[in-house]
Amino acid sequence: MTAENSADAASHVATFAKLVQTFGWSQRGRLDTNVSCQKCAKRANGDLNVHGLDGFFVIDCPYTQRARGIVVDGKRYTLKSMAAVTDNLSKMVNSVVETGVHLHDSPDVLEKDLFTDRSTAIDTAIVAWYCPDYDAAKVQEWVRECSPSKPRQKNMIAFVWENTILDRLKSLETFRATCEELEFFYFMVPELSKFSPILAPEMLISSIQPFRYTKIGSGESRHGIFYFDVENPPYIRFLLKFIQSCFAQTTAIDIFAHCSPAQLTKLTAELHDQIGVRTPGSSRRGPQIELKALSKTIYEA
Amino acid sequence: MIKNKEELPFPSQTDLYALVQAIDSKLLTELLSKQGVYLLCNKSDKAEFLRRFAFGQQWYAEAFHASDRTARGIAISITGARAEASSLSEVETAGRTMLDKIAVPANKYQPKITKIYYGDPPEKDSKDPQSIIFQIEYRVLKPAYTLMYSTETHIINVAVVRLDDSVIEFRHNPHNSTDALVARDVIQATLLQMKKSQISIDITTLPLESRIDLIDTILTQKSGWVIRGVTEFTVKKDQDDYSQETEGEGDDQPVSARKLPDKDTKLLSRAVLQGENLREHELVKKFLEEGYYFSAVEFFAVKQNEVGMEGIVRVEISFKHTPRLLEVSVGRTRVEIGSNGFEDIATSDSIAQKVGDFYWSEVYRLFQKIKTKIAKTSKKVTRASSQSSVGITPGSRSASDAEEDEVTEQTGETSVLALPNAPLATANTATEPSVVVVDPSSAAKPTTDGSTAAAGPGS
Repeated sequence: MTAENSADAASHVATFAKLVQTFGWSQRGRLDTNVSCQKCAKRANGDLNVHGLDGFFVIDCPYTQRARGIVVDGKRYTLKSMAAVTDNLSKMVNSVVETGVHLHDSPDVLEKDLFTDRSTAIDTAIVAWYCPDYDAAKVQEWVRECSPSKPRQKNMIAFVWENTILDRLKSLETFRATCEELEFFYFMVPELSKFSPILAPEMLISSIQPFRYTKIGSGESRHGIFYFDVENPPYIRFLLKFIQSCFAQTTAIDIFAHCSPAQLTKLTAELHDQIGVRTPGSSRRGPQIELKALSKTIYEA
Repeated sequence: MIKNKEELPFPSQTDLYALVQAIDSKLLTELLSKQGVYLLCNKSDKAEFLRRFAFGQQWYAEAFHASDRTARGIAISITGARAEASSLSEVETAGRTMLDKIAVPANKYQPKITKIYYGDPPEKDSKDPQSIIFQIEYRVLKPAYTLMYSTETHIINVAVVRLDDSVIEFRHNPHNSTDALVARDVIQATLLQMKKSQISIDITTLPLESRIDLIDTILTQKSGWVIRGVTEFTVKKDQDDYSQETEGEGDDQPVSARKLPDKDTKLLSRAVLQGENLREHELVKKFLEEGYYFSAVEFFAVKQNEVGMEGIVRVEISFKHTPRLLEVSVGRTRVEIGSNGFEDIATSDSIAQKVGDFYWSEVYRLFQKIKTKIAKTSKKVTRASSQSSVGITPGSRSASDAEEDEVTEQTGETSVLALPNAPLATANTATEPSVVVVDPSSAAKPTTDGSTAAAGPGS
């Protein structure tokens, strides 16, 4: 018995690809395919060895200002399947990392089969694990215990995106659909800070995602922050400090908290405790802050 | 857009570089894996990758707290050992015998003494140097890749000085627990070569109550450096069997060690500042009942009129378990700014050395004092025991007396420390051959006629 149904897995990869393409990820080659490897030893019949590749994407990296290659492995395993497979999560990550490293060392394949410039830095590997019977505690335990190995002579950054992150991605995509424009603000490297429509993988993991957007039909560009650290309400002060340092010159800012309505009420109370309610014409300095809900959309493959 | 990058509530590039340098790699990996992030790169590149993320405040708090040295800015750490020896020439001779040979074959880092030189030349009309320095080299083998291995060579110095006519001291300033482990092993090997034994300062050789007394006495010192508040207590559960626990680089504290929550630390700190006896504190009594003792304490200390002293200095005294030794670390200086604020600044080298030396020597002095006191008690109790066995009837004592911390001998004239429930270690008492070690459990066994012998605590 296979751990996952191949049709379901293909559907998951296709859904994932559709979502990330909304945020400037350019798909190269076909999904769920095999690519030759110049690095691996040739087969007995003289053919080049191959790697299975669920998805390969290239983005214009906001951090390095260079083309960045991202290798994705889509998994659609139930908890039971994940427990049963001999390849645990670490091996899955190792495998996708190895594919990335070997692709990097196969410039001809990269150009010919994946239509990608050989100078592209392939430094990112993602295991996108959609778990149909998701149990946060169990899945996160697997993720926590995952310990992939460092590849030889190559730096890579690997991610395991389970349902929480996939839901976040889906929610952002739903929000994106309501906007004419959406650009993320990359502030963590202050000397390179800039707005970019590209959603870097690191940004999706971050607790705070500042951005500017224009709603369809409004024509007005506004600033906003996607806020994911909602489980820790006392840290709203942290968020306010961030707004003070990043958006002090802005007249208004919308915080979109990724949470349930009950949590939003609690957060609103926290926010009002911290800053008070600003009324039009009030002399207090700083932007007018409005707390809204980023509607939670569940990722389904 | 960003007004001033210094105002960002996220760590700066410098902070992240310092974090990566200071934090244990495994710990950083664990913290990142909670986020589903795996940085598969060299240590030097990790900070650059970390800059890309904006994790929640909780994550940074955990990471920076875990990297103690980043948070506290350790200025100096002191560890070492003392032994009975009349001259440093003996040490030099032993060191020269071991020169360029693997000093401790059992130690996986294969330490060697590679150089011996004089710290201070011999005084006039004396052949004996005032201090000697051993340069020790050790190797750490790191499996960097599957097929390739890399070896890192580390060099450390261990100084040996003569404290008085009969005692010498080995002193080392470790940067990490591996340095400390190697230094300790080489010191022990040198002493073995000299056929001398170390003056033990292993806290586990003291009874539980005396371990509390030791920390209490250090904290309530009224001369020299004075405590201005305790910031951290680490408690550890007493364990009889240490043999199964391994030593090596990595965790400095065993699994059973834990830091007290802030609430408890504040309570105990207040008690210390008010001059209360810690052993009388309800919280400490509870720890003792459960078999816990203080294995490390961190506090602020100050010395009036000390030249160059700007504020209060953070000091940590730690009876480490892995490797088992005493370590005194001096951290940052806290300076008041304005009416309510404060700032942590780097401690000057001279102040760090002075405060470090002071507490290092004080812990030794107080430790020996407590051991001597226990030894005297032990002798007296042994004498009383032998007297009772020849027919002297002990005074009547209630059973509850056995639980008292201090007992009065049957004459009622002398107040002495109680013998502990934990036995005195026998392995480290070589320097005190006159001490008669009495196992209280065996001493308090009923006699053949059914009465209890007088030797046990409170009996």
